[in-house]
Amino acid sequence: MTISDPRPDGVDRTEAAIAAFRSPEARPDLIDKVTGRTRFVADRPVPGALVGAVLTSPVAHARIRAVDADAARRLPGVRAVLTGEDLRGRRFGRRLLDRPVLCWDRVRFVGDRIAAVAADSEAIARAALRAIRLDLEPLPPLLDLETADADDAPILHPEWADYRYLDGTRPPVPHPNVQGHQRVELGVGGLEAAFASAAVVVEGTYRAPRQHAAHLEPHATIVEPLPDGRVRVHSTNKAPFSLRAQLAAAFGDAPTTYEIDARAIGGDFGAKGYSVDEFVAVALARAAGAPVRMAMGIAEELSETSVRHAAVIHLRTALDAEGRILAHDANVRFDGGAYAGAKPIPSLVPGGGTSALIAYHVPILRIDARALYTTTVPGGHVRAPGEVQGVFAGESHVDELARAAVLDPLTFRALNGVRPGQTGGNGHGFVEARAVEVIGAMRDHAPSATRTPGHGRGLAVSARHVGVGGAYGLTAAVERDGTVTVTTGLVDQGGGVHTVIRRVLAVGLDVAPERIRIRATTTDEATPDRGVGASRSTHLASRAALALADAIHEALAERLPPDVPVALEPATLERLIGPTPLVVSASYDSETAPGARGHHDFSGCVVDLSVDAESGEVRIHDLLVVVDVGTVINPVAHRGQLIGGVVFGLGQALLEEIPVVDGRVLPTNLDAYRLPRATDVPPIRVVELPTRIGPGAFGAKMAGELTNSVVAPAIANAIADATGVRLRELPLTSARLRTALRATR
Amino acid sequence: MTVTRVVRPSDVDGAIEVLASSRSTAAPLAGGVAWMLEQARGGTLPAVLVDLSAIPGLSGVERSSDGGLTIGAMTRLAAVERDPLVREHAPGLVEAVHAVGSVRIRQQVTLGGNIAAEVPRHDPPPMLVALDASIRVAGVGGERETPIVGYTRSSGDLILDVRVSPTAPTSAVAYRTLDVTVGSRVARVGAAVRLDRAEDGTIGSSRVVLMAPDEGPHRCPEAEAELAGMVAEPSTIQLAARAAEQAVASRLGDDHDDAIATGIIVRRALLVAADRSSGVAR
Repeated sequence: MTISDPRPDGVDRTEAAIAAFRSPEARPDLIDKVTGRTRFVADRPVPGALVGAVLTSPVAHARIRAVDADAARRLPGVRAVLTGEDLRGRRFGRRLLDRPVLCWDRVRFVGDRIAAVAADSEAIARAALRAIRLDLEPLPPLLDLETADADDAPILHPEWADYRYLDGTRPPVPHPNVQGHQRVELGVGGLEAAFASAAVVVEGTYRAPRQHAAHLEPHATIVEPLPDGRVRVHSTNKAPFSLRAQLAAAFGDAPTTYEIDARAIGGDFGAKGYSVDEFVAVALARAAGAPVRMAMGIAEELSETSVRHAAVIHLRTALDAEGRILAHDANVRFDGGAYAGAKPIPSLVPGGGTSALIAYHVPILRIDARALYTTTVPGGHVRAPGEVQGVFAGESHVDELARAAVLDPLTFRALNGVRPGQTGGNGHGFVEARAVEVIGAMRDHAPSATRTPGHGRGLAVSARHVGVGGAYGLTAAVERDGTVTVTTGLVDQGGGVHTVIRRVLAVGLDVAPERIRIRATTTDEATPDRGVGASRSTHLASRAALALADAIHEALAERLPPDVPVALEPATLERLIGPTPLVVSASYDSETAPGARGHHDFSGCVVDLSVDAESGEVRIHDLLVVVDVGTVINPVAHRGQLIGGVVFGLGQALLEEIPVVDGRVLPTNLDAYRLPRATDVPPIRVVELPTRIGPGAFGAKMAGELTNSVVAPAIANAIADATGVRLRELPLTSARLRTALRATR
Repeated sequence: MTVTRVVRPSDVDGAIEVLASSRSTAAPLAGGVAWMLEQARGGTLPAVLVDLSAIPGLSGVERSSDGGLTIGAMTRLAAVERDPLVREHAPGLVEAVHAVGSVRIRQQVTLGGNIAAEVPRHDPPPMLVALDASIRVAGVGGERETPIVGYTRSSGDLILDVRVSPTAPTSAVAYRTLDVTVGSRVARVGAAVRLDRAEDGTIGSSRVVLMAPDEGPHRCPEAEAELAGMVAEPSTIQLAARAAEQAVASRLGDDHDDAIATGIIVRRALLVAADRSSGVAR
């Protein structure tokens, strides 16, 4: 597939586009954000807004015998008190509606909500919560995957079969404690024979902890009841139309009851697609007849929203005598926590669970991936969901395979890397399989290392799909002076979607980007979309912008005599446009567009490090990422995503873990949940392998979720190379390595 | 119901008056970081916070007549770290201050607040102990100067400044930390050391001060005893490090990661100090 994207009049503009895209452009919200002018949701002044607060469960699993809120209701300054009884049957979720707005019969994790108050001040709200008496009867908790997966495990959601599922039918699950179940099978009839005849069989179990997206702006909301009975919801949700649908589903009213305003988001990293407070705040605002404001703190972010799923991944792979993969068998268990509702994915299993060996050709394949209910904080989507866990397991396993086959890790990967026309280790094909190119570039660009004691090198290779999902629609108002205002409901949560729209539209219209203004609006005015994220924003937004350019072109051409060329110049426009601007809409539907599916970005990482054998401290000397990239629309934003992804990956690899003890999330702040600092960042080199084959305009692909998953396995492999110690559990902390090294002495 | 009231006195006497009269329900507010952390943990704030920001003269670094440094309690850690006097005369303090949090945290935290919060894992206090620093404290009974080691803030107290003698040319200091994980706990251990070289080149006196996740900064006499009168060479340092490790192990148990990590950082800090000592004075 070659991308040319000609203009409606047949002129090819690809070369012009690629030339125009070379100059970097700062994001439009840059100055406001760095100078503190941006008004985030929590900062918005809403006169008369009450403070909403919730009472959460102190135990991991219990039956609610009674909730006595009478004393709270009598406190001066308390405007509304709700308990689960008031909201019986109200559940919410992004796909599966399984989480109660307020629990009425049972609590399922420490942090589950039992009661809520709206009061004149935060202090009064807190006092009201303290005045509520709970009578809870403890039930046996399900704190880990082994307990949850047992045949005799108590059923956490007895009403599971009645839960609503948005936009389709819930795939079948083998047990009520399974949130979602995904199977990939390819030639499994020959699986056991392949293992029996294999020259080499390697198996291992790998573990990844809960981690947080660590967006610095917390989740926040202000809910305003409007005079006409509708409700305006100021929200940090990056998919406002999805939130609107979820609210309507939870409360049994029409989506148009709600106007969602999510125009300023301060960081996302996957977590801003899930809202929790919005639901209870709507109920409180309705009960109080007044606006209600709620903002989370870091403690609530860590313990009450959703986290990257903890995972236990067992992999077993058979090789032939030359070291070629014959068969692969994977058992992937994700800790889904108390509710599946934080996951938007239809399978309700984080997608990366099938990605362990995605970059390799696997002729016989069996993957069984499940997300299980436990009585812990819900599992949700964080940058490259499931892939950080899956690729850590897979690429650690690949190094163990290479060692068993007596091949060096690069040779093994080059031998098995998926070729054009082959299926990958997830059972799917690729529009353009670039594993071998990526591996070749890793060889060419790796430093010429001088081997010293304690020094090691580690590799990792992976691939991630370019996202598909729904349609993006844009509306332009073209003024007679040639300025264009684009109205969109898409939120720029940091991914750069507004700049993508502006730059592609500028190229499509052959005007300077400065002539185009992006105006973000609410769900009342915008064309519905599924929001940003899931590695689809650049694909869909660039295509929608190009469609909009073509629609403007056509609208102008219709109004001009056939011999007059279309040009967005005042001299032309003044003949066509009066005082009212010309309004043109266009959309791009990724579900039906030809060629939208099957695109991937491949990536590789080479880490050179040394290990202090005594302390277990790791020092990274060089970190190379090789990335397969489509047409880059804004180089500074693109590079920022790639390098930001690496730094994100460093945190996942070396530092980040949310321990849960007796069902309780331990860290209450970022002092106990360490993130990488600027001083922790090693030298990073990025090598881009460009292609023009991509589903976005002019061959654009994605960048945001491309580099973070390969970092951890490359480091683990380098540590194994340096010390002989194989760490099969994240994070790879100095304390963990120190203990492992001591055990070998 | 508790609502925290913030008062902002304009002088020390005004602050002491509030702190002393309200007694246990009032506490000073300096950079505010400790209180923010307390709130995030779900703790309650005192009924009255005495904001010190309007009191003149509590921040900045000065050199006193005896050559020592006086560092105002309200001096931000970032300012301590950058201060030319501190860099020249108390480089060990720069090292320990630099170990605190991130740049943004150091822009907010004050030296006095860092001491007053009495959080065991804070980095500057062990180094201040190693430097034999004292603090000047105001209270209802007037001002007094007290060694920092063993100091516990009583409710009417206000730390005014920190006094540090200049590090002698024959002395060398170092600070090292290491992350530890025991069970599910993520924390850090630290070691601040000082070696004073006698005229014959041996170690005249020393300070080995430990920072542990669960215990305030304290000298480790077992390690110091191994150093006294010895030449600062690797074998001596190894013995001192082993003594420090055993001191922690005797409290927490053999093979406890805090003990192992303590041994590592004491040895590292002593090696650095020994290296600096030989570099400066010979």
